[in-house]
Amino acid sequence: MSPVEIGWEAAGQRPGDVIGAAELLDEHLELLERFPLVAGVTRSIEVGRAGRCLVHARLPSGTTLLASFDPVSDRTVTLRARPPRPRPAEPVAGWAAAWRRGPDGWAPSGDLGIVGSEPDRVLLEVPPVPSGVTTDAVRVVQVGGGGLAAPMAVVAAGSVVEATAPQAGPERAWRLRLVGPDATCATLLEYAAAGDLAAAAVVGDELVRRIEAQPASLAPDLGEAFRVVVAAYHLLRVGDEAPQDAWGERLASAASWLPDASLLAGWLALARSRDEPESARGHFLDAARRGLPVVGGSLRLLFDGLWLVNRARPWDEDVQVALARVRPYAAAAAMAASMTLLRGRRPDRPSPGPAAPEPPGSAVRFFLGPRPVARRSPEPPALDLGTLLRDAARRLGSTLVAVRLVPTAVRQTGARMTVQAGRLDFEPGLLRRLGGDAQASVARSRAGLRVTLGGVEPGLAARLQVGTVSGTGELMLARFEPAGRTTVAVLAWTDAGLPDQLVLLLPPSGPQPGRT
Amino acid sequence: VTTVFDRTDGVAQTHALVIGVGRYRHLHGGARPADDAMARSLGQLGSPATSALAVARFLVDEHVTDPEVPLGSVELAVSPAGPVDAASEIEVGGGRVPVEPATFARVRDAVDRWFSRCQRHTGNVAFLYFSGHGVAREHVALLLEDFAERPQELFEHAVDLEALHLGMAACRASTHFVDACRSVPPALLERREVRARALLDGWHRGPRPDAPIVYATGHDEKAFGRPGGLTRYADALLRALHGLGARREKGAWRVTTDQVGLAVAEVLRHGNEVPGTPVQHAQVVGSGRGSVLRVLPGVPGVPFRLGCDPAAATDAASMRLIALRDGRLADHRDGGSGDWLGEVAAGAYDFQVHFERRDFRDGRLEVVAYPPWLDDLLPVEPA
Repeated sequence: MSPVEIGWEAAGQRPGDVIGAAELLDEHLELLERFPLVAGVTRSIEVGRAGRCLVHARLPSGTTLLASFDPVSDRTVTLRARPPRPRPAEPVAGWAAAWRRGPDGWAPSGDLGIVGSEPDRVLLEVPPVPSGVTTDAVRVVQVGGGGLAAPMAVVAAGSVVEATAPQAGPERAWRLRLVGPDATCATLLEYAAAGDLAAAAVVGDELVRRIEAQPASLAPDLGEAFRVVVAAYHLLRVGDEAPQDAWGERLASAASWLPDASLLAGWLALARSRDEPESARGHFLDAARRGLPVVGGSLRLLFDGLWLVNRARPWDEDVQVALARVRPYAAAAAMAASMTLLRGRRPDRPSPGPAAPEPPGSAVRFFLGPRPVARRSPEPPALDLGTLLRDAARRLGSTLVAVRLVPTAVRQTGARMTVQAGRLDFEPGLLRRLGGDAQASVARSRAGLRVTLGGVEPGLAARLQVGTVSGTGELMLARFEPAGRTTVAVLAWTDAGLPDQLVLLLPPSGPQPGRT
Repeated sequence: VTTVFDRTDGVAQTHALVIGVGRYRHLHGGARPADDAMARSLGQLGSPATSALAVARFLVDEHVTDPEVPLGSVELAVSPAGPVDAASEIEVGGGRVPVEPATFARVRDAVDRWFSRCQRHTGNVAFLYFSGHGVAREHVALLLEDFAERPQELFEHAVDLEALHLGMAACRASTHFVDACRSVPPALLERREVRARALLDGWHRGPRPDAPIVYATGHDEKAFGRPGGLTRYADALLRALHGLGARREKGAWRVTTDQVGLAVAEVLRHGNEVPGTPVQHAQVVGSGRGSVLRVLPGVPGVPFRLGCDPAAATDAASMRLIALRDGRLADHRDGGSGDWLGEVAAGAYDFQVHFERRDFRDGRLEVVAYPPWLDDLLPVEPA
C-alpha cells in the first residue's frame, strides 16, 4: 500500500513551524498515530490496512482540521479547516504598554508596536533586541482599557502577543495569548495552557527532537534560548529523566541569562537527587535573583521549588528571603497560561486580585469592535494629484480610486498621536464592486505597510493592487498575494505613522485586455 | 471511618479520596460563626455534598469492574449543608453505609490511608475529588467543615492542595479534580501568607509526569452549582468519565489523564453558551502522559451542535446524520429553530441538509463525532 500525502493550509505561517497536532484514526475512530502539523510540509502516512481513515486536529486557535481518505485509492488528502464560530465583537477602547526592568526597577519602555488588528483582536510585538544581546531582554506587556482588568505578560524580546477582550463571564480581564515569534513554542505552550495535554506532548516531542538534532550554537540568540527553555519545561513535565542530564548543560550554555533556565536546572537537580536539596537550592536562589521567568507556570514551579527547599531547610535564611520575594508574584500569577501572566497595577506591584490601572504615558491605544462609521465630508476625498492618477490609471487600463484609512490603533507619546493601524473605508460603490463583503486592515510591519484584504473572491483579489502616492507624485503599487483565506500586500513605507489614504487599482470590469 | 469501599488487592487499582463540604460551622450561616472578616465573607454551600456523593456513587457503581484499573478503595467525607443537600449515606453493595463529616481530623486520617494504599502498587491510580470552598493565594487552600475554628490560626483546618499534589509522587498517575472556587476574598489580601496544611511531605523527584490538576475555575473566579443538585463541574466531570474524555486505543475507548481535563473544560465551555448559565472556566495544570483512568464498556455518546451558514438557513433546513460506516440514519431534525443540538455515538457521519422550500441549495458535509464535542457549520448557497 503506497503512502498517502496529508496536506493542510497554514495561512501566514513560516514554513517549518509546528502549527498543531493531528490524530490519524481508522473507521472505528481507533487512534493509529499522532503527528505534528508542520507548515509547508505534507505528512506522508502509510496506513497499512484497508478501510476509511480520518485525520483530525484542533489547533490552539480553535480551528478544527478534518479530512477522510481511503488509504488504498487516495494518494493526496487536504485537511478542511473550520474556524471557530465567529462571535460579535463589542466596541472597546484599549491600550497596551511595555515595561522594562532597569537599575531603578520597572519603568514603561515605550517599545511596543501594533503589527496586526482585527475587529476582535490586536497583535502586539515587543521588538527584538540586537543580535548577541542576551541580557535585559525580558519585557512585561500590559494590556488594559474598557474597564477591564489589565493583565501583565512577561515575555522575551521579540515576542508577539495577541490581545482580545472577553465576551462575557466572570473573567473581566483582557485575554493575552502568545503567538510568536517562535510559532512552534507558542503552539506547544497554548496547547498546554488550554489543557490539551496530548497535543502538547506531540508538539513538545517534536521540539525536543529538533533541538537534539542540531548542534548547540556557539552564540545562541534569544530565539534559541527560548526554544531550549520551552523544550526543557516539556521534558520536566513529561518526566523523561534520561535526556535531562544533557539538558542541564544545554540550558546552561544556551539560556543561562533567562530566569527560567535556573529554575529548570533546580528541578532537574531535584529529579536527580531525591534526598539532597542542596544542589537544587542554589539554582532556585539564582532564579529568584534573576527576575521573572517567562514561560507559563514557571512562577509556580519557582515558588514550589523554594517551598520544598524551605521545608527541608527551615533554618536557611537565604531561602526564606527568596521565598518572600517570590511569594507575591506567585500569588498574582495565572496558573494556566502560555506566558507568565500577572495581575496587579504594574510589574513591581503584583496582587492576587485584578487591577485596572491607568495606562502609562507611552501606551499604544487601539480600538476593537465593528468597523467604525467614518465621518464623511460632503465630497469624497480628493487626491492632491488626481489628474496625474487618472492619467496613470488610463495608461494602466484600469481604475484607480482613493480609499480613506480609518485609524484603529493610535500610539500616544506625550501630546503626539501616531496612527499604528487602521482599516480601509470602502465607499458603497467600491464595496459593491469588490463583492460586498470586502474588508481591509492596514498595519505597520518591519517590511513596511502590511495591507490585509479579506472577503474578496480570490480571482478578483489576485488582480487588485494597492498603493501609496508620495509627495512627488510617485505611485507605488503592490499586488495582493494569497495568505490563507485573505490576501496580503506589503508596501514600502518609512514614516512613523500611516497615510491618511491609500489608492486601489481595480482591474477593468469587462474582459481583461490582452498584453502585447 | 470514612472508608466506604475497600477491596485493595495486589494489582493496579484506582484509589479514590472524595470530599464534599457544604456545611461550614464557622462561616456565615454556620452553627458557630467565627469573629473574622474572611470567615464572615464565606457562607454555606448547597451542592458540594450532593456532588461528592454522585462522584463516589459513580466510582462504586461503574468503576469496580474496570478491566485495567478497577476501583480499589474509596475514602469519602461529606458535610451536607442541609436536608435538601444530600443524605449522609451512600449505598454500597446493596447496603447503606454512613458517611462521616469532612472535618480536618477525619480528612487527614483519610489522606493517610489513601496515600498508603496508593503506594502499594506502582500501577495504581490516585483519584481525588474535592468540592467546597477554595481560596487562592500562591497555592489553593481547600476549606474543611471546621475551617476557622480558631481565628488565631484560621487555616489550621484547610488543606494546601498543591502541596498535597506534590506529595503524591509515589503513584504512577494521579488526578486531582478540584470543584471549588479559587476566590480571593479581600480579607485574604491582608494576610502575608496562608498556612494551610500540606498533609504530605513533598520532597520528591520533580513535578509528577502524569498528574494533572483540573481546577473548576480560573484564579479569583467562582464555581457554580444548583442547591441540592450537582455542581456544574461535577456534571462535567461525570460526563468526561462516562466517555467525553476518551480516545479509542487498543480496541477500547479509554479515558486518560491527558484527555480528561480538556473534556471537563470543553463541557463547561459549551455549557456557558446556554442562556442563563453562570459562566465558568475549568483550567488544567500539570502534565498528563495518557495513563488510563477508565476503560469504557462501549462506544461513548458525543454531544453535537450543527447548523448552516448563513444562520438563516438552519431554521429552514431538514437535517440528517447518516453513519458513514453502515449508512444508517443516526438522527434527524425536520424542523426547529437555531442550531441542531443532540447526541450521537462517536463516529464519522454524513451531515445532510435539505431545503423543502428550495430557498437554499441542498448540501452535505462529512463530520466526525469525536469526544468531547462535535460542532460544525455547513456552508450553503441561496438557490
